[in-house]
Amino acid sequence: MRAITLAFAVVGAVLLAGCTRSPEARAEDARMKLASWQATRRLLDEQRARGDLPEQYVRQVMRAVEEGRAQALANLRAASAP
Amino acid sequence: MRRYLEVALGIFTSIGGFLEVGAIATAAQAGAGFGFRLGWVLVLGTVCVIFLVEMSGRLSAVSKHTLQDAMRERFGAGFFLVTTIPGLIVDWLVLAAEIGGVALALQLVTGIGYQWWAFPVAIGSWLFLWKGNLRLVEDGVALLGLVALAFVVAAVRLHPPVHAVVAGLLPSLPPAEGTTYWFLAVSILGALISPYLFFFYSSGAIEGQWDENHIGSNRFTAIVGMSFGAVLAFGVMLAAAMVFHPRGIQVERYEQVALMLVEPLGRPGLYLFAAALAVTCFGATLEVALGRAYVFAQGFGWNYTLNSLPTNSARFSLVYTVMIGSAAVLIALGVDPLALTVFSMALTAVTLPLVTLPFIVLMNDPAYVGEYRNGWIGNAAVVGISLLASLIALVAIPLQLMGG
Repeated sequence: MRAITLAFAVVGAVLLAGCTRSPEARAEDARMKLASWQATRRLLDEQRARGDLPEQYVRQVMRAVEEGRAQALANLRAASAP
Repeated sequence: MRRYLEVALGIFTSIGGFLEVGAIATAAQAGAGFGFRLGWVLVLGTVCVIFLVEMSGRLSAVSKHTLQDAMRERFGAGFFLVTTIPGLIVDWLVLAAEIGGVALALQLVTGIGYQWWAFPVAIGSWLFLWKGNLRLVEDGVALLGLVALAFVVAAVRLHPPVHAVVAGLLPSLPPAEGTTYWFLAVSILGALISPYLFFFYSSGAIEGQWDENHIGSNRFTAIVGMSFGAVLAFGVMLAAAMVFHPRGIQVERYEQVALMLVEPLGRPGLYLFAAALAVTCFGATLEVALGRAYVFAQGFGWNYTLNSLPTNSARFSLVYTVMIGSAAVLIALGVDPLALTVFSMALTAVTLPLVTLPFIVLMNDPAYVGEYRNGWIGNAAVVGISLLASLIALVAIPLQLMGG
């Protein structure tokens, strides 16, 4: 029983140790998210210009875009910090 | 007419258990991130669900036991507790995510924050169960759930390239971002192969007084009902692949997702998305709450039925009341429904083997299924599904930690 518990602990530790992401990967992820939010904003503007969106929904998406961009920028700064 | 009513159980199970907040989120994320490449995971998940739903119904029709009841009787009270406690936690989180899905749909059309809708949604769901019966729950949601066909209409109107869609149905390795690809694959399977779906379906079969004469219609119901859900989920993935993927948009918030229906359908697309999200999540709310109430009632030997006054099944009614009320608190406190969905899907994946492994024993035990035991195809499928579930359980959390 102790051997099985130990085996599970070792496998778990190895898996978790492998889960740490490098700063480069985190920065790349943040850049992709930033680009994604900019693309969301462009799509929103296109659909809004066509008159397809009610203003209260536009406000919700704009808020989501602002919050998402701010989070992505914060992540980018954190990943780039020495 | 009887066939229609039985298929309604399958369609309702499919709307609430197959296409719900988790499936919509993961299918949209998959389409946005990888185009059509994860289509094969939807096919794989659908095949798994069809097999397990058919077995749940067959077990109940022949043995007159629900799945949970048979598991407790065959494997003992200790096993019941071991499976019930993690299942309760996972179901509670899934229930909160589903209530959050309905609340978000209401936010999209009213502009009022989803937190404010948590309790009205919970009260509406509870009233539906308290005042309604199983027939109303099944037929009502199955009928309303047809609004989710908007995803399929949107996908068709976006004219996806047929060869790329077909190519996506074949398993492929990720082009890059392997962690995200595999995490989404695991999340899609976690969202589709939901344990509460099997508990609910088998309880519905008992409530519907199925017997051996229902074996054929059960198979038909499992295939048609689950395939219906799969087509809807595939519609979500295709729409996201056509609208979001070429623009490099990742799905981070539910507010974004409606844009993929607005593109092909115009302004009605927003309202259709909100209606589809609300109905499917409402169906799932009822199904998860009922599924857990059935599990408790069957495990502890309480009265349970949705087809008589709640006072006749007081403890059964108390379980779904407490489940819905407490889960709504989580959403009212402002927990992000999408984050909650992703987290609960990963946890669902971890607990999958606890539900799939017992099928191997139960579906081969003559004491339960008599001459209707699994053939070699059924056994190969359930062993394969259990191996897949074990693999998923092992990698789900590490993949999430790795930034999936």
